[in-house]
Amino acid sequence: MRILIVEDEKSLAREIQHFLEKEHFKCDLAFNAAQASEHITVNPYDFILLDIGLPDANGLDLIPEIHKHNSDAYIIIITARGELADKVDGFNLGADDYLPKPFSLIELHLRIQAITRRKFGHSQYLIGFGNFSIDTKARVFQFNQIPIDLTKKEYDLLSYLVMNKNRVLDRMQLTEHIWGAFFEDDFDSNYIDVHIKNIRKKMQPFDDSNWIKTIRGVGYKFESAE
Amino acid sequence: MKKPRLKLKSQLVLVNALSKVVIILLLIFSIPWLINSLSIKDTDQNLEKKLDEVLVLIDSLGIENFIEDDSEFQAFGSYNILKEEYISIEILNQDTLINQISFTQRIIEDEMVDYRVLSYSYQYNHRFYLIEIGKSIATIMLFQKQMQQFVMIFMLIILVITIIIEFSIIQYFLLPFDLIIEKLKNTSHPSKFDYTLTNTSTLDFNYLERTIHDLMRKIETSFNNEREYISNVSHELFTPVSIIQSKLDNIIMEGNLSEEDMLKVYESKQTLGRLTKMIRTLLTLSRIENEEYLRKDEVELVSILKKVAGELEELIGAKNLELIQSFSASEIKLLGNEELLFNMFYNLINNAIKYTNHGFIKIESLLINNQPVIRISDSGPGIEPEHLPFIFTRFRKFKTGKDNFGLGLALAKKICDYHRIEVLVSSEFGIGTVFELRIKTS
Repeated sequence: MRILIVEDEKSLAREIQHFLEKEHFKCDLAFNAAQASEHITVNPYDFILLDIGLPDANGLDLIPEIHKHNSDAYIIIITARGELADKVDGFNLGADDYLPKPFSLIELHLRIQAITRRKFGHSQYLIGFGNFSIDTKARVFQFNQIPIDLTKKEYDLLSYLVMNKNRVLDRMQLTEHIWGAFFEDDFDSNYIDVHIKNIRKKMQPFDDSNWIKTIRGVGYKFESAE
Repeated sequence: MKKPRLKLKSQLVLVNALSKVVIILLLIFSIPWLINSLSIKDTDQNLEKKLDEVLVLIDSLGIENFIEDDSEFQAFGSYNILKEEYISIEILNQDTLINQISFTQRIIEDEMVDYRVLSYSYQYNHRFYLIEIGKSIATIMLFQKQMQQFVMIFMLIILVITIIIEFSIIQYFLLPFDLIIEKLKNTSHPSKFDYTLTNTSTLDFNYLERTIHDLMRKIETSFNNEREYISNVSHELFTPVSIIQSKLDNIIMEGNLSEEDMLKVYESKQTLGRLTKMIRTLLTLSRIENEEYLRKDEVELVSILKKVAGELEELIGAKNLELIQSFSASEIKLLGNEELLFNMFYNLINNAIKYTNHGFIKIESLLINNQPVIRISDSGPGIEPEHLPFIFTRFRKFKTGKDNFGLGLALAKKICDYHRIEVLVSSEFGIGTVFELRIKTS
């Protein structure tokens, strides 16, 4: 998978690159529209992260060019301007997704994964660990074919942790994922702890191993060697 | 100030019609009277002329030709077959001089007839005679009646015709005015305004429209500047936030730090998160004030309410609170922005959950006097009466509690205002709080 990151803030671009390369994506960077054009005409990309506020052009203007040379590329618009019109224009021009800054890198990864699944028609909707399995299509959690009853939020939380295995997910990130980035500025993220406790309680009768590790004060990490 | 109710066009037509009706009524009542007095004057002149003729006749023929000395009745009388006129001469046994014209009724051949009668005393050969010349006024009365009817019909026709003509003329002249008003009514936002000038020969309208256009352009420019400004602020603030957040994300996810350092990084990220949410809310407030959100979706509030309740159900359960839902008004539709309304309900219900530690959260939809109402109540600690007026004020701090209502409620209120939803809060300290939203459906 090859990704082009079009972002004029070099520091941010490198941070995204660093994260995505760990996920085994090959990344190219473009810090302005001119560089981006060059990359687009020469290389084939699967994804293009496109910042709208480029120093030499409006990122949206690059979309027709992308369609011409890289018709298969999925375009994810990233912007800090938060203009409602940008979102509408972007989709009208043919962008596939829209992420307002600041976004969490995991959220970006999830979007890429979702699009990949759609693009390649992945039958990979079954995620397994130990004797457990998560059917992301039917939203069912099972142990050796025995369904384990999870609430909606518990299911969301568990599958999120599993999909990002061996990675520390902090409570804020988990809260935002399952309850959305709403406008409250002092949301009590301790409810995550309650849900994790319930998930562990439900898994325990089947398998006693400590799948979800607590990172004290910070969050949780799903550990699996598979 | 009085509430305006009528359009200029209708006012003009109405005033015109009323003044015409008054004039016509005056005419209907005065014309017969005028005709009457004119024809009576005419009759009187006629009678006097007839009297002169009679006197000439008496002079030339002698009174004996009319009244014979030895006749049984010392009087003379003559009237024509249609009883329109009569002349009578009789001897007057007194020497009063009479010269008058009056209305009298006479019975002639068993028929009551109204006459205008000229009575005149005349001295002839040392004797006084009374000459009376009468003219029936039945014809006058008839004429008067006919005239009145005619005038009435004629005037009504004139009234209708002139009103129609005036209405069309007023309509024609005010058409540009109507078009200008219509254009203003259809403009939801200055950016959507149609700047083509209305075709008019009236100088005033043209001036009015040009002025409106100038003002509209100024407003549009300031809206655009504001939008540009908000967008720039957003970019300038969120770009550094975004860089820091990505870096912190990467550090935390890798999890290579000591427990102590992890905690510090996470706390920094939390602080950054608070900053992000505050900026986002402030920008959203500004964007609503600048009317950047469209209110074009046909939104159904009860389903949004159910969706929000579904999202927060587990949170309510986790706090051991009871969630009571009752939707007796099953559908409340309005034109609005679904995203904003969702956020508003989310904020209000989440706020109720946040402050309530035991008891219930109640979500209701109902009709009060046919007006849809949504109520969100809790059994929380309630709001102190002195704080109640300020809960929607941004960043309001209160001396007593540590509570700061922050921006959440300010945003909820702003979203309600944006959708013309009236918000009423009642709270009893120690018992609970009720947010009541009264919805004006389109």
